[in-house]
Amino acid sequence: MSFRSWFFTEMGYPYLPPDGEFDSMRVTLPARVFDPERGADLYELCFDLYRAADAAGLDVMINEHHATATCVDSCAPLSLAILARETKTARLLILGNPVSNRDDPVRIAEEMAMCDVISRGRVEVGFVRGVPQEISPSNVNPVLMKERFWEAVDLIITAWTSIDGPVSWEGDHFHARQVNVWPRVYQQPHPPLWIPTQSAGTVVEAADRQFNLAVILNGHEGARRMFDTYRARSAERGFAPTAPAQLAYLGLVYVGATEADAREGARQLQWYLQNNKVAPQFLNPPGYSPPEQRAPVLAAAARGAQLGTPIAAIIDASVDELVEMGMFFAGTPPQVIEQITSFHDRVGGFGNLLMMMHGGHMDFETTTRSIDLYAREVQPALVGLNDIG
Amino acid sequence: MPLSVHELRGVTLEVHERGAGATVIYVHGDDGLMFSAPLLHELANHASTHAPVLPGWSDSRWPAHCTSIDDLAIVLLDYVRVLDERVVLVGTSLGGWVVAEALVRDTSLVRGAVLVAPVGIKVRGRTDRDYLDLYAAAPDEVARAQHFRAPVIDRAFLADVEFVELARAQHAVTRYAWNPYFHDPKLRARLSRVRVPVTIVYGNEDRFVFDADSFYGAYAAAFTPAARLVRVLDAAHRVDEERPEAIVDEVRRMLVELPS
Repeated sequence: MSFRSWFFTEMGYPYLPPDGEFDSMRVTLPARVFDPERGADLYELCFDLYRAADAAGLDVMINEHHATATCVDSCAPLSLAILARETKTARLLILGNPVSNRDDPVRIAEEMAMCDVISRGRVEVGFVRGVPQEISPSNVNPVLMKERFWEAVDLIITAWTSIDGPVSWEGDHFHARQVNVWPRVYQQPHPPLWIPTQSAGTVVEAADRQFNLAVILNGHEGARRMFDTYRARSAERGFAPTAPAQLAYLGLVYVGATEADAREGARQLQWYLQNNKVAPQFLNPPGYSPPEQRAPVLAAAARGAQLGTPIAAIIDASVDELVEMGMFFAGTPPQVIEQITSFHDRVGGFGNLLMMMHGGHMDFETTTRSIDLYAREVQPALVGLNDIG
Repeated sequence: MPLSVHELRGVTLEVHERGAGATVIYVHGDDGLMFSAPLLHELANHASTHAPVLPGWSDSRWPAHCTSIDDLAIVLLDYVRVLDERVVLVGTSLGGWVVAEALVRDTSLVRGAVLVAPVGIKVRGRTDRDYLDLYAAAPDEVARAQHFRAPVIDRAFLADVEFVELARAQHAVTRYAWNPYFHDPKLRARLSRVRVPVTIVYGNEDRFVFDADSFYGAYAAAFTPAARLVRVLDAAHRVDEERPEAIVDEVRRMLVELPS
């Protein structure tokens, strides 16, 4: 299939105290706020939605965050294991494993391999460096994150592909002995590899390794820039021309039977963008970006500017404005087909739409109406999007 | 200040030198030498003052093998060996930690040391931080921990290029002090092997450590015999910026009392 559509929910916990009573949804919001009963209902809802997406013929994607109400999928490999059993045909994309934040890459190789076998080869493995807010909860030195990230990725791939007996690993950040992953992965030599990003530097690194690239909520301008960088870098390195399947974009999606339905669903989904408060000290830690990039932010803060969230520009935007930017695809089926087709043309083509279709207080019926409409009326119109001629 | 450059086993060490007389080596703290000019000026009135720029700070070359505080201590000891004379070591905050790590390794050319608001040891239990979490505390709390009054040099008026230097300094501190956070679990026990006089100077308003009197008291007591403990009024963690003359007084005292 030349154009794939992936259902995704961030599993945000929406039952928050009044806005003035906390300063950050991430890192410091006390876990006491999480009601286990409501949490159990939320997990049930989310896994039911994933099953519905699978039944409707969509692929599915999950992610992982820590110490935050914005995403309670804190152990994505566990969700992947559940989905490996609860879904039948969907490709299962974990986007991704925060490998530099974990101490044992071999364990990650094992988790992914086991899920790949259980699902009979439906797993696609993403590796993510992690957002700056998660540096404190993971306690990984931000100066070393990038180095740890690539060493962990190399170790995981080595672990998957060393099937003729144990190997040893004594690197700068990880040491492992008798690496001999059982079970070995179902897909040979290993599952497809992905990397999500919002930074140009990571795009180049993804192209160098020919990992699939997922651009997150950057709008058509940002996506075009990053896709072009990936394509140019791949050409520069002598790789085959970039296939659409190597490029993905994540946006919010709501499809309604009528414009009024679509508007109401989109308004509910917009909760995700409008509830993402982060205290400033977690946004720009030393080491996460090079000093030369960080210096202007330090200067602005010292001179009195307020450090906002990285998605500040889209928090207050209307759904129509978000559609115009390419952050949101919302409307009736013909409208959403037109929006995605237009986005596809503006970014020079891509082959995977990662769809945040659930968030905030959206219930099962509201979400599955959109899933079903997308699967029945939108997806068939997009399947040939990348066919030549 | 005149600058000398030294090649020390893979490290290119730039050293600012000023003044005449007995040699004092000043080991900078978190912000490098950005805000040290008043202290260095005062010190140079009484001693030949050498202020190296540690690997990672400012424009220094940062060799791959230099990854921890004990690496910096060895760079310092290599520089002392180049001078080949007996010196007094002065270190502030993270620089005090570097000096402490150097003292437990080799004092053959060290007359004595003045540690100003030194970090590097842990005295409390596993669920109690000894040092404010700079990476999680609100910006105004961090500011209060460092300065009792508004900083003498208002950060708002730094030039853009100085913010790059500040960002590099914070990058280096993060590299060296992230985990274990601002301490070496082995250092406290090792301090008892130091056999040269040590003075610890700290500000009574220091909020970077959990409780200035008990923390620096424990630090002084870890030396055998205990380090001389000097509590400076109206200063927070950055004593070097807020009360430089108090540091100079202690260095002078050491120079007068100790054999050269």
